[in-house]
Amino acid sequence: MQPFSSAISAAITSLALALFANCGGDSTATVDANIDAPASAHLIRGDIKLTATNNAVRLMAQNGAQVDVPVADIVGKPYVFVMTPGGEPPANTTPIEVGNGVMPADLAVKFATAKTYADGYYEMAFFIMLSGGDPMQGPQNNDLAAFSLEPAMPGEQALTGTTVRVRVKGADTNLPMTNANFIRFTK
Amino acid sequence: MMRLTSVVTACSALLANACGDDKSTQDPDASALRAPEHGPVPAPPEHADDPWTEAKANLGKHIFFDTRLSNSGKTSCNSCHLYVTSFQDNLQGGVPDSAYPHDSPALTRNTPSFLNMIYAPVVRWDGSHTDLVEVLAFPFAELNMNLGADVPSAQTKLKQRLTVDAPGYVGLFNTAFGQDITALPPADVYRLTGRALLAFIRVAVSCNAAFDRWNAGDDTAMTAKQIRGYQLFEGKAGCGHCHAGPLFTDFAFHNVSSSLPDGNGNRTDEGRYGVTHDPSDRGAFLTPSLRGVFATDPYFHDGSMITLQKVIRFKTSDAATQDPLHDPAFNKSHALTDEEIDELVDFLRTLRGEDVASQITPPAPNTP
Repeated sequence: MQPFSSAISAAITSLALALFANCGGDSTATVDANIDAPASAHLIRGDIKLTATNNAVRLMAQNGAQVDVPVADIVGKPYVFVMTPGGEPPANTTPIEVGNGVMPADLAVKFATAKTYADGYYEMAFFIMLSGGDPMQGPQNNDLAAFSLEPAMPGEQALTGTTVRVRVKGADTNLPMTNANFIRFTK
Repeated sequence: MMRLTSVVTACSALLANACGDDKSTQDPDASALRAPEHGPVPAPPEHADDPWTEAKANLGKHIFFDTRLSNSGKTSCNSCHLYVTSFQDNLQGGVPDSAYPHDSPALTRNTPSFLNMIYAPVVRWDGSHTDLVEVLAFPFAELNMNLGADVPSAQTKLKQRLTVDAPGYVGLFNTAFGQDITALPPADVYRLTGRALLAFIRVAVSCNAAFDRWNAGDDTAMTAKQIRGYQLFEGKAGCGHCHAGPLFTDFAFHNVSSSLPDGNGNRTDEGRYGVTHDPSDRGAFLTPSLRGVFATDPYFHDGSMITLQKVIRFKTSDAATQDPLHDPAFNKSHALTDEEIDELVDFLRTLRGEDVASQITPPAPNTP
């Protein structure tokens, strides 16, 4: 297995795709799945909808502050999602799947993973790269990152702190995310 | 299978909370272990003069999650030591209450995890504290909770918060310690606060990891690749030099060239030297435990290493010997291949214990 940085690099290379390339401004994700589909496999639909007030998206910061991120800073910026096995942080794990796209003007993104996920729990890292930094280094200062705050279920590994936990059980799974799922990343 | 230890009667409830009563901390006299050096996580230490009680832990839990006890009213211990993510924040630099209402990091050091902190004879990256009660209360007097510019003023403010602003705490302290905090000096209230937090974080024990099961003889607990990683850990990579013992730390200080001197010999962070003022301690930092390390990225005292792969590559290369004061042990390090680094990372995966967050139910906001 390759950890996140090298694996995502390989994925990008194989797709001949630069994460910061202008993908046309739509919300269509590009997906690289590197696992074989099990017999009873499902897909995961990401459904991100950020809400703006007065042309700014209000998010919670680490210390409880509310921060207002201008919509203009978000629209047109690349987003990246990375799927890993449950409990496995992207920093130290080979991704199951990597995808990317560009934030549209309505701040609504919908994408679907490959239909390769058996029942179980997974992690989805989702960043919106506002910084223009190197995606190989993970989220940078001022990037928006999604995360889970509810604890793991009994028998699961602890949350990674850098991902949203996804549970697949017998069907395709929707993963809605709103402002409440994001922080402005600070390094 | 490992033999179960005879659990200390007084802390049986605690052990059940920590690791489960049928698979909890195990006999540290484990001569049958494959790696006795890394024997199982021991039973939590008992303090005869301050025995653990559920009432103390319950009080500590309320304090841990209570944002009303910070200067801004927005920050709690859980803001940086998030219980759902191994009691740390996965951020490079902490964002303390003093940064409010902004969100830029103001702390230069990576937030350490509380996992297995109860065993630590010395804590913080520079080892500035050896008294766990003191260090758990100290953030109220730091930028973290920001209650005062110095310890006495923070103690006064803390007492006010606990007795006037959130008076429900008076009863909880009385139940836990049999003391009326309205009648105690602020310094005593501060001390009791630390004792309550210590009682709470005894739940943060990372044990019964895959490595522990393999160590006790379960052949299925680790893969061949992970076993090769362990062999590298103890052998070619030389990690065991510092990451020793059941907690995979020697609780000592080492210069790994993570805070290099500038042209004048000054470092951005002098580490242990800031405590001892011994020149040989310049740039030295406390060895962190590796239990749970797989999910506590980023790494190093300043969070400058974002992956374990980078850490291992750094420490097994000339990079670790750049500082003139580097630990001589690194002179014997051998560069690892990509495959070997991958095996080592996979071994570190096996040091993750069972999640403890699901055993914790945060109190309702603004209670008591």
